[in-house]
Amino acid sequence: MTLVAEKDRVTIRDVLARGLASRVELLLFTRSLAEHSPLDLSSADRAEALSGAESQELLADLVALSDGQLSLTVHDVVADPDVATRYNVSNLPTVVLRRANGGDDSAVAPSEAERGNVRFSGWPGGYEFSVLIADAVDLSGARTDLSPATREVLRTIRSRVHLQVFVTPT
Amino acid sequence: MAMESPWIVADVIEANEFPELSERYVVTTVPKTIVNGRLQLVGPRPEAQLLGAIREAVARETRDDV
Repeated sequence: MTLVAEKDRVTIRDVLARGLASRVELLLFTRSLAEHSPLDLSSADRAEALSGAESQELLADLVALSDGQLSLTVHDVVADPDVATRYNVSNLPTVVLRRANGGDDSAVAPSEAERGNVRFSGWPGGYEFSVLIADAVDLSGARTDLSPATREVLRTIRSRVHLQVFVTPT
Repeated sequence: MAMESPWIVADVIEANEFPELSERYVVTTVPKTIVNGRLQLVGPRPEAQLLGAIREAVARETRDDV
């Protein structure tokens, strides 16, 4: 069983093979259903858990198409309540993208660089799936399509900036 | 932009799954971008406008610190 259609699998495998320049980690923060009967959960918690399970399945499909360049680690906030705090994650499910082995930034950066600062909250399917794949490719090569002038300005920032981009899957 | 600065955290949020956040920021159109919980950009915006909002947010944070 896979959530990704066969024709899309071929395309994604090709995009990842050509695009991924280094390994990228996907860290999924979710509320597991494993230790609960769904009947024990509030409707909001149940929705979180179901979205997390579907996200995990979708991301596992993606990792399987990456020839080992992508990895998925699942953090269950029920089993490990501190993990969401350590990664400053408040929405569930959330998948965090970060370069494996970190980068040169860690010496000068606040901890966000090590935690991963590109994150998707909610089921990352639909249109956002292609955005997530493109971000993983960009992250792997430490390159973006931004203009040199924009990159120059961004490099001068020395206070925290939080961008929240609200989207829908379609 | 978050990839170019370790000071930036970018959250892409599925609006339907987080109704409280969507209500707080009055998300009626997507994409809608909130910068540091205060500045808002509605709809797809060019790079320069997003950068302008980030610079404004940084300037406000700096003023607030004084």
